[in-house]
Amino acid sequence: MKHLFRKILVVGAGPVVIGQAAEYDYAATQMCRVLKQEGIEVVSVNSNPTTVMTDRRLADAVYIEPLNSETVKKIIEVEKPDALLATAGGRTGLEICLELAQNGYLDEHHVVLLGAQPEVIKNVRSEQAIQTMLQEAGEPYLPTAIVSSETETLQFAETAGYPVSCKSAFSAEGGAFARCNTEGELITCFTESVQKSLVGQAMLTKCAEGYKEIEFACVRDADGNCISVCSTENIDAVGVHTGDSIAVLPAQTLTDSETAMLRRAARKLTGHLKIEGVCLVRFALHPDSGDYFVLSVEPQLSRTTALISKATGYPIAAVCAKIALGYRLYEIPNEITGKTTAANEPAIDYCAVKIPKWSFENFDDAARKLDETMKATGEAFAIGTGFELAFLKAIRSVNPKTEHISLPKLRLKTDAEITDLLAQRDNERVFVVYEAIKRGFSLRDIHAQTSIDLFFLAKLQNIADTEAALCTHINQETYLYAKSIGFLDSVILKLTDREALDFKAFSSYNTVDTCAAEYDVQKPYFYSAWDEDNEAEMFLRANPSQKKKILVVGSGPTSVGLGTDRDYAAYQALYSLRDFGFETVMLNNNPSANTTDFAATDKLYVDPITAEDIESVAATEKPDGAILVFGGGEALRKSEILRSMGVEIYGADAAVHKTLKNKIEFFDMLDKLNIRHTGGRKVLVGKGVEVDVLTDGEDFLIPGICEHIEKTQVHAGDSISVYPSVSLSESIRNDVVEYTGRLVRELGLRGLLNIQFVVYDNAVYVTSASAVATRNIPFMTKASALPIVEFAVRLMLGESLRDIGIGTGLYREPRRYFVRVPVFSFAQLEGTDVRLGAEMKSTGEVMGVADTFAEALLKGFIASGMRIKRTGGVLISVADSDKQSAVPLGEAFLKQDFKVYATSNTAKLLNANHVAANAVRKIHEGAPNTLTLILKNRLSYLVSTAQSGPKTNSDDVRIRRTALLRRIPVLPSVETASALVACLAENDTVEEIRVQKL
Amino acid sequence: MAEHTNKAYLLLEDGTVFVGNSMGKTGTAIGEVVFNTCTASYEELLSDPTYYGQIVAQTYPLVGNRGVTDENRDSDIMSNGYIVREWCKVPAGGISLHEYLLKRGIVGLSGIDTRRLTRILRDKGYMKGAITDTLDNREMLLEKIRAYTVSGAVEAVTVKSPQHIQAENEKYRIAVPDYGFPRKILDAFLSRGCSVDILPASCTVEQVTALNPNGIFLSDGPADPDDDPVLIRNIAEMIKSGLPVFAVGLGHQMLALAEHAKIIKMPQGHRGSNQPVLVAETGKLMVTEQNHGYTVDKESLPSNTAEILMTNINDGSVEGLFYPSVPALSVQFTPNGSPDSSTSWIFDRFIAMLGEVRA
Repeated sequence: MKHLFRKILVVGAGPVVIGQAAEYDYAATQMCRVLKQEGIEVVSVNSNPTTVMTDRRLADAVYIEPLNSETVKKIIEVEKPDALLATAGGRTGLEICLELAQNGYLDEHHVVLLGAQPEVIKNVRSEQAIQTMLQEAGEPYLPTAIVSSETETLQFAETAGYPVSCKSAFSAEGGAFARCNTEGELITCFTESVQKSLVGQAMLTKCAEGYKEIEFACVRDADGNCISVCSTENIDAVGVHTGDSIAVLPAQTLTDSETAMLRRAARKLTGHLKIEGVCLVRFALHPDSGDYFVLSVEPQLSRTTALISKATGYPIAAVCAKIALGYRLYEIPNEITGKTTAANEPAIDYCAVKIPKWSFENFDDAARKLDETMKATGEAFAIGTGFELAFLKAIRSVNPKTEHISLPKLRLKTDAEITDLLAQRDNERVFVVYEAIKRGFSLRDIHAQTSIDLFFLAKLQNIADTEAALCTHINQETYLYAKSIGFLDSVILKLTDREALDFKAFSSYNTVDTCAAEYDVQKPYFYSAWDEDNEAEMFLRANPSQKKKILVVGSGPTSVGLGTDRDYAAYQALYSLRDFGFETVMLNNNPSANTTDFAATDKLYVDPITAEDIESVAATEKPDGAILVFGGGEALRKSEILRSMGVEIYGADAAVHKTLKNKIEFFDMLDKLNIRHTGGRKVLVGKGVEVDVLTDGEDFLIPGICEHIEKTQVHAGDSISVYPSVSLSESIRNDVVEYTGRLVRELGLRGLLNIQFVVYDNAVYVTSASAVATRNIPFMTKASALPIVEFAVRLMLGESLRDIGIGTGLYREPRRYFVRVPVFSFAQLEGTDVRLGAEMKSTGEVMGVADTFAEALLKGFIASGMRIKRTGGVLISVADSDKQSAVPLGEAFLKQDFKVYATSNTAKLLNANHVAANAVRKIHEGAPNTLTLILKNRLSYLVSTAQSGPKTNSDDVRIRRTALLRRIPVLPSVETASALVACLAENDTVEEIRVQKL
Repeated sequence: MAEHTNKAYLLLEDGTVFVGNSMGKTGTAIGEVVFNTCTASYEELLSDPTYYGQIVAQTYPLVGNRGVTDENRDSDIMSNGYIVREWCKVPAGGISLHEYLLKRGIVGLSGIDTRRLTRILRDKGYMKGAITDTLDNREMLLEKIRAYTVSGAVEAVTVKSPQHIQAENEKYRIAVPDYGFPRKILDAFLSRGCSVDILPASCTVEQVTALNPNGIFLSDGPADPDDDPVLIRNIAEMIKSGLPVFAVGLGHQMLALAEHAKIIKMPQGHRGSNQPVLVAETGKLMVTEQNHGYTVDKESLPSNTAEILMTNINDGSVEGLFYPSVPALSVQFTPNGSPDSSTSWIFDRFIAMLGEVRA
């Protein structure tokens, strides 16, 4: 026994937003698992219900509470843990640790802080602190300065050297920005920056554009033993956020001395900071001179450490948890080999490629250009024995519909247009590069335009040459070579314009084993390759199992509308299947996901989720059955291929998915069942209601009816929802249950069904149903305390609800209230409007739990990051359709002593109804106006419900965007605003929030 | 698209055949086939004398992404052949791996499943085999492979006549019988103020003491430790001189033999860049690079002669010894002399021993 800890509080990272996705939960989950294995009682806290760390399986006590030092203190006072671990809590976790440690609170309560220590956090929490630290450590960094005069500006440039980037130090909306190579350029940009800055200053940074971007992850224990786990190299040069860059592991284009130099610097900084755990150091490396700068130092688990863990088989978070408990690296066994320890630097004999997933299709108005602000919502990775194989697999892992690195629309462009596009750094650039290569652009020219290293361009050239060879002359040799570098049969068919191929080959599988085959392995973690031996088959022969084997297909990268909920459900399913004696085989490719953790499943395949890739896994593994629902529609559509191979499909399949998604078929069916629905009539704008149903095809159980706060013109995923419902009458609820029964019996589906309703004029209408939507499952699992996924899996595998014995119909309602509040990432996406609509826009969610609805809602608002204020101004600017609702809303705000502002028409209406409102000018009516109110900090809330039109520069969009960037809560619907003001009226101060064990 | 290069093969002594493409010189090369898991420089690897007589297979698949920039530097390729999965045709700077091997007349093979090869080799440590461009006379080639032994390795790689390398600010002088060691280790001595006299491997204790050194460094080298009893007899004489001795790799094993310990073949050798070694007295971890299939038998160490200073974390094998009566410090791996390395303290320890003895 290394330690005497009895109980540890693990702090999570909160909701998923751009730049902070599933990776934190993956890390926290690993840590919780390690702590439990050590016999330690785990208390977990997170505001995000869609997290595995907040499941009973991993924590003995769970708190879903707003993540701030006040709530954590309250939990500490109730639970009295011996230690606090927040390394998996991202920035939020670190800030909480710092605050609690600094004011002596932890000492007072005899709580030990594990993981990153206050001194370390202080050294890296701001740009300034990092630079001071790097200066002490003698490591080079990119100098920055905030300047207010031309002299200062030129002085900076003289010391730092050109190019220098210059931007407005603080600007309300899109300040100036430029990379300057000359004095003239710099002065021009400085002048503009200062004008657009609210504080009259410009921020200068030495520019490392075009440098290679390299990261090293080091792990260090309390004795100072330190290893470097792996390096990564971004294919996009410095200037694109690392989260938006295509990356390859390990680094490919460095000389030996460059590799040694950067590894040495990373280890040095890890030691300098005395980190006990992981340290990720990011470098900018000049492509020719070998000069480098340290760009960032992160002493915490992150997206990159998740990627490195998955790509190497070295579970960094689990190792960090053990280090925090006092273990030395060599005392931590390597679970994959069973023979080595965490002291072995992973030896890898393949390369891995990560490609980001952007969700720009959900944001018509978002600027797609890539810069220093991260915009990707997720990522996928693939492993190959060569770069081409890993890269082509990664391309189709990000989007299974894009099977090859080609976009049809680019074919229509002229060469001149392609040249222009090359210069634009956006989410499609790699496709443009490939198109340019196919057209015979010189690699040197492309390199000059894009700064992408010639090594990578030559690899793309090889793919293009192979494509050309296939088109001119396909034979066994060209076919097999094309397969070996990652071409799908379906791509080859299209390229060669054929109906069928004369050849067929299946991939082999290699093991991710941390040791380059030096040892035999215990944990089967595979990727497809085209080698002589199929190691997955060899493993099967060496480890025969009598268990029934189930393939679970995952959902790939996280995107808006395809969030971490599916992975949460798939993870639960894996556990349940193993509990019930099945052998599990997981197929997924999201490096941040919990399901791509080799500890989560009996077998893991990291590969794309196209028909051929699924077929290939099934050909090797020969599973008895497959569960596809957690992979979404893409996975469901593959059910027939698996059936044709003799694999039974458990739960939903392609047929039921099609029935539900085809509007005509679906509404015809509802007509037949005599269910009122919204098909074929004008849009009904009413109250949204949602149920997730457990069904065995005859009986059903509704864990609970959720009610949406916003009207149905807002996407259900963007609505605040509450359970139990607060305003639905008995008869409405009865109708919901009745309709559910009819639908369930007609579909004969086993497992899960999500049904969306709208309540309009006191009647219930079905709007849609889905066999794949799991968005609400984590929330309902936590709210109803029912293991919904476990039951669903049992039903899929053939049990009946009667067998499960939990009852049928509508499950009993809890005494407490649970509110789900969506969280958005508008601030990261330049040009986007805050306004909600039919397209889902939220990236994550939080949950509020309390005895009353008002308190639960307030907790949800706080947890979502909203700055709750009880005084100040409220600007009410509503669409014409909302004018009548503005009156009671204004009145409610007034009653709470807010000062109410409104634009002329609304103000007139309010005043006419005896609601005292101050009229403000619209922006185009001259100053002072609505914008002035925001810029002068007069507003605590902005209620702005006007639709955004095609002219995105309209006043409404502008003030919403400005408020967003100044962190003033924007309430985009009257319902949300009314709910907020009502809960402010009923609640005491924020400080008096009571924490509750889930 | 894959260039239509010439087919080439790897034939192992058990008859296993790998089909790939010729790289470097076309022809036949026989050797002990070993794998290496590091991603470091192939130039350094190929010129490492401990690979003398061997054919090295790289487990990392993408080799030579940066070209050889210093192709004329004075280092012979010591290995008989080189096997990679894929070599980079358009390396940044310098010439490609293929051209480099061609220039140096080394037979190579690419495009094979190196993972399968590693799996075959890992249990045996190494197998004899040949890279060849033809299997026409397969049986004859197999006979040659089976008959192959690495002989006279030390003789082949050692210096032919003594060399003196002067340190700036000389504090000590070290005599180095050269069994064939990577020259990069010299910097570790020179930077610590040690001038070095490199002697042919067969040097006697008289030749060593005639130089009036402060200490002796028994170098690493290729081949099995008990290949040449003369070398061991010479070492047995040297350790009676009272001069501090520092031994690495082959030197470490021959020193143990001179001290009447036994050397045994390991069930699985250490071949790679990530061998973790634990220092008993400090509990500190060192990540070391190794390439050996024999080890000092722990059980055979006379208890009053040697202390076990270091062990391998994975298999518990002996990695470092201290012989107080000599005094001698010996390690199985080649330490790295640069100050930020976890193994550089070993040099400092030896330098301290030199100081104590002189005082």
